[in-house]
Amino acid sequence: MNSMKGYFLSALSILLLLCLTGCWGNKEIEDLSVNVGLALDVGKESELEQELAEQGATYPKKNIITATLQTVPVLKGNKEQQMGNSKSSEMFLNTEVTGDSIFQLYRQYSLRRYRPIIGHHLKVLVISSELSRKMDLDKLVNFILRDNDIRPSCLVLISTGKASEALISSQPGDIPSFHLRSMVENQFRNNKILAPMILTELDGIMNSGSSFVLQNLVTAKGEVEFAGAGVLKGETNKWIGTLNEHEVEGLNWIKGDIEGGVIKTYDKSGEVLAYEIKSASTKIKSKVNGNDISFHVSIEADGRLIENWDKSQVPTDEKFLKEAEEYFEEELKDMLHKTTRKMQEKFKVDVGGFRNQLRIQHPKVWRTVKQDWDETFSKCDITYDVNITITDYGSSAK
Amino acid sequence: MWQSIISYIPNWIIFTQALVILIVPIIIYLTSKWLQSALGSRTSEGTPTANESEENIFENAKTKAEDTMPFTGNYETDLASIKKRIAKNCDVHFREFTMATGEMVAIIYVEGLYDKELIEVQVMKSLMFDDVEEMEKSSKDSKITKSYLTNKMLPISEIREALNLEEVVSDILVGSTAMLIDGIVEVLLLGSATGKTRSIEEPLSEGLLRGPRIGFTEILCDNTAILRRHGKNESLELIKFQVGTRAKKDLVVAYMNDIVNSELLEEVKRRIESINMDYLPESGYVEQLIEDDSLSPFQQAQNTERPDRVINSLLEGRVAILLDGSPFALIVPVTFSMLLQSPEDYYERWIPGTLLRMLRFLATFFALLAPALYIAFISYHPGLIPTKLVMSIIDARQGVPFPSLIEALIMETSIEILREAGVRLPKPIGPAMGIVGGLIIGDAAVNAGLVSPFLVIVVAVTAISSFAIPTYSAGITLRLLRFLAMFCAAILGAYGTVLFFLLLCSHLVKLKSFGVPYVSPMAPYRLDDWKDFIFRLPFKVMKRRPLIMKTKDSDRKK
Repeated sequence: MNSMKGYFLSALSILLLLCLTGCWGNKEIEDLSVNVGLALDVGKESELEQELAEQGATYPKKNIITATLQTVPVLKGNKEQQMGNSKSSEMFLNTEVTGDSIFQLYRQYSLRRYRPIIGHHLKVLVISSELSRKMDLDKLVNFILRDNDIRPSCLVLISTGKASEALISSQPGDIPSFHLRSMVENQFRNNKILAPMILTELDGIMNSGSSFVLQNLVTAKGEVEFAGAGVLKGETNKWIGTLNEHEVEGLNWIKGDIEGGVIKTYDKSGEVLAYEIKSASTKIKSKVNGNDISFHVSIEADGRLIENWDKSQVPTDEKFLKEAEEYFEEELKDMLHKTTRKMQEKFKVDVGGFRNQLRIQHPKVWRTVKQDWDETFSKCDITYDVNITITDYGSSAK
Repeated sequence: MWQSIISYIPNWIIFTQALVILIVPIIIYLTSKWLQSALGSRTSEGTPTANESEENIFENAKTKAEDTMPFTGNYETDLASIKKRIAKNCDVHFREFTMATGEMVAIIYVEGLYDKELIEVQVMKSLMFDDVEEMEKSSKDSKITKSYLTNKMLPISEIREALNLEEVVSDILVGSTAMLIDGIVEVLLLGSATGKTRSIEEPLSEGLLRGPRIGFTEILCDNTAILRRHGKNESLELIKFQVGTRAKKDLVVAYMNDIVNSELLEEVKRRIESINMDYLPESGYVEQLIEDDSLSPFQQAQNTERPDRVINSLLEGRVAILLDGSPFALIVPVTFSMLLQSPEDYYERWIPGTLLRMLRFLATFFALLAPALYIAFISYHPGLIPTKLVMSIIDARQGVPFPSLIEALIMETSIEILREAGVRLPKPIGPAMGIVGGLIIGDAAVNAGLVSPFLVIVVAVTAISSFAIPTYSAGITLRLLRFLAMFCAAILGAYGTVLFFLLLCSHLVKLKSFGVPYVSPMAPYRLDDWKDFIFRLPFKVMKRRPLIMKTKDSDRKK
């Protein structure tokens, strides 16, 4: 009797487990194209699309967005062909589709290419600043955020020129999406790169209503360079302008995102002095005095003197090192002031994370100013205290 | 209100599903019950029922009566009755001669089994020539007696007496030499079988780098002697059983009397006594006739050629079963972890021992699930593979015409065939075939576009992993289950693989070997026994015998 019950229960559990939904879609991997990059531009049909449309390939739509879908790998012919022109053959395939709903654009892809697209491996999303100026970013990434396949780790970038150009590479064998994804990791070498903004973070920030910056990139002759940052205003989620490279550096200092990089300045005789950052820390203190909110930013950095063109100076000289520290501090302060001025005066937005400090340090005050924070912030007083230490001067004493 | 209730009543599809969920388990249950009654549960039955027909019984009774009739002491009639029974056999020889004292003597032996040296030098010589004077002296008094013979004339340690035909015949046929003497009622049985035997060699199926090189042989008394030799230990008890209804064979149950759980011992004895089979050529027969669940793919007794392994198990409170004619001893009860343990784990220091054990658990996982995971990832979850790997897999699989299941089946089947062929092949050809099969066929299959190179790696890793399992028969089980896992993966992807694993786990948890849960330190969970499970902790920590064995003496140190 007991064993009968046991058998019955185990058989029942098997069936119940089978009834749970799993991933039933069976599709062999080689029959899929892997979407690794997506670029969004202002809607303009390409020549190919126009020709196709003339032939009748059209459906009711508004040409608001042109999406460039980058898929890998490109099917190669037989082996000989591969050997023959492996240098010139491209590793990726870019497909441009124009329309409005991004989801529909993704599905339109299946009308052009026989291997269905999968989104699991989407690495980068590049949005042109022009499109972002016209459209709410929330609308643009709505599908991308909802889709179950697309990973929240997808990187979001802003492009000054056409976004689709960022997905083109002049180097053979290079896949631009991977290229961009990896370049963000170079933060430890260069402090002009913003901390990567991935989809989940973007979702959170957009919902919180705060303004934010996205890494900006520029393109020329098939080359891509990270340059500055696009500023998006929180209330509208629209692009309002660009911070240049120098200001991004300053912004990184304020946000405490410095992992390495350089401070370069000139000494009084105009010779180059360079400082390699080993570690840096930033503390923002908010002060509330009646209605006045002010911030004090104290920055400390350790590093080494790495380049000095002035031959007359001996690096072992304590006095010279003190002097050099002062040059660097001066340079950094200058940088910080320029950044702050741009934030407060030109864009009137807080992208330096001050709101968060206030929220943590003075929650009651924060509640009163929360509604109109960007406006309030642009009138806040921000002071800086910079302390740069030269811990050593490298392997050369001369 | 009625409307709102109706809106909650599901449509007919749900009801159909519910019906299926109700009916299918009942079908599964009934099938398994039918299978159980058809195959298994032999051990749970009581004593076997006799199924002889009435005529046979009559015949048997007649011969039985003859067999048990005592010898008359008359040389001619006794010899004739023995001859009538066994003289048909070409290898049974009768040597008749006259003793120095004048009595007729017949020596009956089986060629190839009797102890030639013993009979010729110690028996015949002493009877025919020696001590003639003394003999004469005694012969004057009376006829030669049995006690006189055994005391004065036969310098042999092993002498037994037989009173009736049945005893004599069965002993002659297993190698004793019978001596029939005129005027003596008892037939003397001298010596025992000495036939050709194999020398003790290193166990072939369980090689070790460090550890004793000794292995069991086919001779039961040699095997028991090896066990005895493990050390001075009074508690090792060996009890003998006879198994096989037609050809009787000796079977020895070994245990430590002050350690083993008496219930377990009784259960083992009961199951061995209930074996009903005409002949048992190998201990594999015994294993299958005493196991708990014949439908399980897992073995419920561990077979080993290594005496050290047997002794270690006896000291843990287990019971060993040795069958004459088989170099494989059985250890019961067995737990799953034992199949993945090697004696070397204990001979090496505990850190490398632990590492090797973990490696074996990993190898088991690969051997069971690697091809299934490959299929699941390739066919269902491209998103779970790193992007760059996805690209290279797509590139590699570009020309492959089959779905991943067929591809994996082709490769796995050919590897299994290759392995099976490798066992049969003569030794000098074996490795060459392995290379031809493994390397050349694999490479050619990739070049021909039949399979992808990535799969060749998976299959190779799987094959090697299944060899890393110390118990050969456990490896076979995993090989079998691997194919099931592959089908599950092909139907439901990683979800199917997980389901398969859950089913396997639920089966293992339910399975018992002689009352001991198969996955015992894990379920039921006994933290104390984990010291010797995935890890092998230092001996200073392992002070107690496994709790699960419920031993009489749980302390390893006195």
